[in-house]
Amino acid sequence: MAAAAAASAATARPIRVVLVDDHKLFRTGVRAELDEAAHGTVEIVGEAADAPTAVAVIVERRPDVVLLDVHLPGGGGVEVLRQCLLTGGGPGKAADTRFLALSVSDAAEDVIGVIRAGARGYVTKSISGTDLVDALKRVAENDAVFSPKLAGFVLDAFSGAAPATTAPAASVDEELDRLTAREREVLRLIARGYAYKEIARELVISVKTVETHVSSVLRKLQLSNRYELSRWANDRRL
Amino acid sequence: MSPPLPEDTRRLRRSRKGRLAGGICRGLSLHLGVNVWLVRALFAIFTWVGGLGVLAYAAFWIFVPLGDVPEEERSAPRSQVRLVLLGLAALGLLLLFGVPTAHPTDWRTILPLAAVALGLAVLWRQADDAQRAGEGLRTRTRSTTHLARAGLGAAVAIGGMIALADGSNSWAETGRTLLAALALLVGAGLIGLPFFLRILRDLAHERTERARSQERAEVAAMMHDSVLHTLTLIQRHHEDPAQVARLARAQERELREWLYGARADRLRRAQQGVDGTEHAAVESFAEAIRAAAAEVEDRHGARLDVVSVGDAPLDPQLGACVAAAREAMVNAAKYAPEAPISVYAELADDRVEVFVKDRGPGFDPDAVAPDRMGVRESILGRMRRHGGQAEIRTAPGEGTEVRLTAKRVPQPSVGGASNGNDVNEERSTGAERTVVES
Repeated sequence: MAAAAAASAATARPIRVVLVDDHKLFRTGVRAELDEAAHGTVEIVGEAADAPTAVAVIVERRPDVVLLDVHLPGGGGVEVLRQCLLTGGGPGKAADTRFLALSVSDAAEDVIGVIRAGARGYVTKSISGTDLVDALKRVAENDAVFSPKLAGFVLDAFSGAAPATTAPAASVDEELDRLTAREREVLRLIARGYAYKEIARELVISVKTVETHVSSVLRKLQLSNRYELSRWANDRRL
Repeated sequence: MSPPLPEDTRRLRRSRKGRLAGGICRGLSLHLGVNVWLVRALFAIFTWVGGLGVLAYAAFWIFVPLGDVPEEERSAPRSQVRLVLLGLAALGLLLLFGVPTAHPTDWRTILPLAAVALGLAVLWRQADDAQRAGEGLRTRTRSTTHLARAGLGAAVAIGGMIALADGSNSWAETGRTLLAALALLVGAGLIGLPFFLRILRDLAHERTERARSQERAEVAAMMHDSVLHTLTLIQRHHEDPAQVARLARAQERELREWLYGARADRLRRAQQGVDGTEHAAVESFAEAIRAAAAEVEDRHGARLDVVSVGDAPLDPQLGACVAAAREAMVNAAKYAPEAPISVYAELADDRVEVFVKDRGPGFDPDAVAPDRMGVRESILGRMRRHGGQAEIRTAPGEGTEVRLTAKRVPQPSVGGASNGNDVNEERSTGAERTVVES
């Protein structure tokens, strides 16, 4: 009973968001869109236009989620992530803050780079207000958010490795370098434009399971030291 | 006549203020950052060494303009310069008292010394001019003039030294001459070094500036040719939202391609533009899918998000896939134009799959009018003939997804020209068919 009350209180509390983007016009637009679509479930507690300001605001305000632009003056989104999450090798100043990358760029280099730096998701700026609120909620609950483009990139980058279903992986490293057949299936559906709910129905699993698969892919994406991953992202640019 | 002075140049002037005679010592002291009395002492000492001081003073008087030396052109006190000048003064004193045989009125000594002094003065002026007219260096004629003048100064100085060496016949004389030559070299080096450093810096700066301006020109051309053009069109069509959306989307696509697109693609496209044979080159599968989506976007004003995994050059089977996918995209754009349409194309070694999903109203497949079956058949039939299949999944209110799949048959890759014919032929046959989907 008490637990249920606490849970409902937790969901009732608005998600505290810091908006980091160097275009004022865009920040205003996102603010308006969130106000309209979130119905009070999202509260913007701070804004920043460059990397150093962003780090200061995030450390001070301790938001649940940071909406982070990839291209910023002063080092870009990757620099913000580095300073907030990886200070001194251990958990940084803002270890319990989640990051959702938001960018106009869909260059593989940018996408993979910001995810590898620790962002929990990547969406493009053409996203609708409702979808953005969904993504924020998902990231606030420590789930991962993949745009169709990002899913495509991951499938492409991991396509060299065989699915890890048949034989158990020889080591943890090797396991990180492969996607399971189910993860691959989930990513393919994301790339095809399916929402999580639709994916769950298609694969006859729960939405929670879908989220688990996506988070697992995110972990592999962040931790895998497959050098092909970086090389692949760079090659996409040439 | 001379180009405008850059902000930071210091120019040697004879000082109008605080002068005893020509203002040369005062001007030099301000220019070099040493005490004026040291400079005056130097001229005085060298006046007794073959009249060198007087000659140098005369040369400066002739060549250096009179003027006020502004505050910001004055040097802070510089100890190295003072050290050099003190050394020169010591050398002069040595020459004056240590070698009493040097007769002040001996013309064989005076003339070469005068030549050396003149050469030095020219060199000094030259370095000063070069600093002043930093941008003048860019033009070839100016820099050759500078070089000629520097060369002339050096020649005169060296000539003077040689004459000095020739004119002497004792070891003491030779020693004295060598000492003088050394002092000259050190002096010339001190004068010339900043000048050459300056030239090097100017050249490096100029080179980066040129690269940057080239890049800027490329961006400006892109902005001008396409972005400004589109903005103008958008303003002209501001009363037609659909048209505005279409223009903006097309421009976004183009800009994106330019910013993030494969450079090799860009190069190839540029070459095709030159040849005028846009469709003759072998396109890749992913490119063809993207091109089809772009065409549908332009024609129907919908938004299509394309994600592709894997790629290969087009062959007839892949060409048929692209053509079928285009039909599916057109359908989606026609019936579900509001929300973005997802296109996912995956090409593996053994199969090819294309999914086109819209978020439109969907429909009941059993209640579809026969004339629309024709369009669907053009997708289905086309896939079947190339060893594949098409499946349409829809329900009212759930959007529509068209899935095209085919096992890859190894085929010789052919050019897009024959592929284009294939597509045309298919288009005509497809329209005639009215077979009901199984």
